Amino acid sequence: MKPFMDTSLYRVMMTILFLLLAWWLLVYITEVPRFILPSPEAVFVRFWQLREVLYPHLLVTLTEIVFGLLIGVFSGLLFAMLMVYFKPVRLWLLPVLLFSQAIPVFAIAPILVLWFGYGLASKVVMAAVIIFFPILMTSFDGLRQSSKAYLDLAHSMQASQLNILFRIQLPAALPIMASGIRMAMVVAPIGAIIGEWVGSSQGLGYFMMYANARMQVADMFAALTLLCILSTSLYFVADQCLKRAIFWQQDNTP
Amino acid sequence: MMLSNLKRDSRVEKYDITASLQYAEKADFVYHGISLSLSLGRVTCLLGQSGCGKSSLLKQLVGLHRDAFLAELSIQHENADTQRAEDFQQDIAYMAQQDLLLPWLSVIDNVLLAYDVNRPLFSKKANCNELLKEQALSILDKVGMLDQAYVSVLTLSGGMRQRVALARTLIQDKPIILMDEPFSSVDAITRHKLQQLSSVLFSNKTVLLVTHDPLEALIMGHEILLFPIKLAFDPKSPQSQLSVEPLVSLPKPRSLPPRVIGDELSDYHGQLMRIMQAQL
Repeated sequence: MKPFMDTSLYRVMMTILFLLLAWWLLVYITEVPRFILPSPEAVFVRFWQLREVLYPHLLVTLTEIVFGLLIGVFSGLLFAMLMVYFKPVRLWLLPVLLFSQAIPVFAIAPILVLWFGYGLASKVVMAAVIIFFPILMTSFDGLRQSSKAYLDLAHSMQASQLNILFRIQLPAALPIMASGIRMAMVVAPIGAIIGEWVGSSQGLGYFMMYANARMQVADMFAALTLLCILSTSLYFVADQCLKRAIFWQQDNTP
Repeated sequence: MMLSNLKRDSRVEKYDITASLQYAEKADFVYHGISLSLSLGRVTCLLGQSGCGKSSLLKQLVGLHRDAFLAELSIQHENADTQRAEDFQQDIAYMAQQDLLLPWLSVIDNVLLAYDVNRPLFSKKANCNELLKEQALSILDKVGMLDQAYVSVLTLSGGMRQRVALARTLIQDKPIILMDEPFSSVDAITRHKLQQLSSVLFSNKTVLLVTHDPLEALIMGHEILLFPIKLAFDPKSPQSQLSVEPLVSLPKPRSLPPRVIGDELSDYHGQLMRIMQAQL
């Protein structure tokens, strides 16, 4: 058992404490108006008062993020595998995908809402679209970079190209793909929130816009805090799962 | 007994192999019109310095030179017509310089890799098949790794990993085994043990062992071939591409492999070193 001072929980708690203290000092020294920057305790009070209001919004945003992640990760991986397996797909599709990334996701948000409606679908699509590219590129790079020696060995065993892809290249790419998935975990909420800002009737993003319109800054901060906790928890859960699944990955940090 | 065995040499069946390899249109030939023969059921050692092209030749024999500009390979069996290279390659088990164990698989799954990379997607793993599992376990027993059949390969030492790689090569049950400096990365004692072990395990197989170590060739080989140094191809004199010196067959010790390191072997070792130095 590690001493408590060495655990990550301790470091997280100390960091939060430090940030809260800095925030509190900033508010009380500069005496900014409360409607510009509320004090941490005011936010906490609102957070507690609003807990039952925020809960359904949290569930909606979480659902959007989870479905967005599933669709984004699955389609990114699928396209990466197609590009590795079929040369024409790689040659024709890669430039198109690169070009599509030049379109800011923020700019197409209204169009997506127009196409997919005010409900869940447009936000799921937003989240999926925003993580698609990081997933695609890390998967593609991971699949491409599998060691030639392994491929030679599999060829010497007369393995088919498809089998090599699934049994050698795919597992060998997992450590690199994992960084793409970790990245997606923190980026996907951005997609969902933008979608909610543009047009929605529920979700944490909607709640923030609603509070903003009424100058209820403390409410906004309460929703923001919840969103941060959600993102961090998602990252933490994914990180732990990935570490366990990819047990052979080396960690050479001293 | 030794003499009678040496006499039998003339009656041993052989594969006669001729090969050329060039990576790009304008590049030098790695080798051109090189020819060697493999005696069936014997260990042939291909000895040469680093970068001389011996590994390339081995890989070409395995069929791993699909991206080369020009790769010609003809294989003839004494008692048959020209054999298709593809058929020859079906009979090969290949063992590379690194052990190439897959880190996400256990020892037994690594041993059964040849079956796992050939089964259809979504079918059961090879070690679910009782027959294959028993086979794998008995081969792991032969290489002395039975008690570690189900551990992750991450926990194994370099020597143990090579034992697993040996088992993976052996379970494919192919008549021809091509090895590319398989024991170059382990310490001297482990190497010695692995050489003895693989000599026993591959005793009735046709083995081509590529090595840069004269001593390894002397310990393991029934026949030792010295790989020529590559000659630059000079387009002005087309003859130059043919003037690559043939693989030199070297004098070999009178005892059978695996040989013990002793006076006899050190004499040959000295000879071999002199020949290889003269090549430079």
